[in-house]
Amino acid sequence: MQSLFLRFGASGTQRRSLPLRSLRPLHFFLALLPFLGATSGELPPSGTVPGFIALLLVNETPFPGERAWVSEEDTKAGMLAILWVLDSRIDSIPPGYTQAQIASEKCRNIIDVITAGGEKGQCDGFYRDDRGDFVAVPRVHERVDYLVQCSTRGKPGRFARLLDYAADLAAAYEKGGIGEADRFAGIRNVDGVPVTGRAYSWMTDRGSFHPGGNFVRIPDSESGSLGGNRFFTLRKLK
Amino acid sequence: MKNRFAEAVVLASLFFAPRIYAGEERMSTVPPIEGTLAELTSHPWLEEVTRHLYRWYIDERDIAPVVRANEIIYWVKENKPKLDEDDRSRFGEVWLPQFSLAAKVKHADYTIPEMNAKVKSDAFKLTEVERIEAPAAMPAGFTEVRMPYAEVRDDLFKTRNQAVFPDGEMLGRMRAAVRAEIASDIAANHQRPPEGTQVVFLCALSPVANEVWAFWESGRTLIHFASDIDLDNPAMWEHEKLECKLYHLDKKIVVSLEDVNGSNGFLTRNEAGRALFNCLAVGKRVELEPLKVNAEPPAVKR
Repeated sequence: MQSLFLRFGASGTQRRSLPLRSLRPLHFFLALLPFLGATSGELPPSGTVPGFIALLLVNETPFPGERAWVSEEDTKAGMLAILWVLDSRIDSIPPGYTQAQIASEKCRNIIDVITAGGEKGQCDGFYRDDRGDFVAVPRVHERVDYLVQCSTRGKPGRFARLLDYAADLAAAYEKGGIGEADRFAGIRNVDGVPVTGRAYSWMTDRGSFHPGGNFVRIPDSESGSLGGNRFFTLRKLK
Repeated sequence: MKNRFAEAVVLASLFFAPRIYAGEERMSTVPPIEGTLAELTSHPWLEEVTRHLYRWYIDERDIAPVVRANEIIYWVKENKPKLDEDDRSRFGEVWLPQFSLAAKVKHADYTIPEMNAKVKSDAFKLTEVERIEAPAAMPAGFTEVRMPYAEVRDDLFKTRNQAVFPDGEMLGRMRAAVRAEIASDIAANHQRPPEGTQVVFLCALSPVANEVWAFWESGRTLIHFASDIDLDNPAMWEHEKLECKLYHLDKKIVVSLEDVNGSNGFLTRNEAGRALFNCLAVGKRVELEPLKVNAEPPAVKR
């Protein structure tokens, strides 16, 4: 964990390494998120790195009225946990695994992770087009546009706050990285199975959904179910 | 549907002798279970849960441990997650350890001002079902309920083809939503709309699940709607975009999700087979008016 460095730049293709101590402002920022300024309910353009991350975070978590909805806090926790998974796939690969085994292919940054695997990728509907631009299928935009539309009705409420949270989280990540705070980092054993710690996959909470292979379901007792998703760590190999 | 379910709850309560065990300790008399736990341990409701799981999850190989025990065992508990202000929803879990199944349930009760919608369920509804490695002993905090296997089996057998389908206004709303999703999918995939009437097959409704599967025949596509909002609430169909997923049989079906690194965009062949059976074999055939799709596909956002 101490060797964790940020590997991201504003363009999405540059790499930048920052020492861990520079991440502290991010933690402070995240803690302040609920108290910061007015809600806008807007997401940055999806062609930008924070906009694309925010689009994914909103797409993968439930809003009021959706089946997996529990609360604003739960959905926010789900967004953060998803960001942790994506970040873990960049350069926190456990001994005995290759990045390609976990993230489908070699990834240099979070956009590579999100778009990895093309049609077979973890993030269904998110890919790079023929020009190499990161894009999402129309269905993703339809849902998110609808949520944005809902957020503008009446005085800003949960919809606007959740959209803002995703946007702020994505912007903060681009600026300062995820830091060492990882909800699942300390898990070492699940039902007697030695595991690597950290989460490396998430799936919609549904029957029979399991990523298979060496992925190990993180139980509810370890907060493995957040924001309508089930999170998975890896079986320890070495 | 609500009235029939309510009648069934009352009648069945009169006939089923409750056998409930709280925690590790067996109670010799009916324990004073009230409120949420009383609903979660109610035999009629658990029977509906079993019927849903029987239709959608349980396989032949799952039955053996139950036959040997001659009883179906349920482990039930109430969950109390931290909720938003003014949200009066209730949550719970039902485990069927013999089937290695765990289900989470919710009785929604909140409002969505942005949608001008009140979300209030008429019963606890399944929100998640997972395969689990069930522990040998009931975990702390759960209450055990047992039901005679033979009775449940006979009831499930007798009613295996009994199905409640949407009709009237609800069918109209569902038809419009399916049609809109198909049109949107065709446009997104840069396809020409198929000519003529489109045929879809809807699965039966369950009083304990706010979800519906539909199979669009000529598009060879399974369509899944799921919501926190009861299906007979018009708000559900006004906001159908929120939880609708399409699975093309030719592109989105795999033997194991391991084949696709656990992507959420796929169904296993087993899941697809179950959905097709419930739509085609015991479902309802519905015709949709010919589609009018915009000639211009939606632009890709950058």
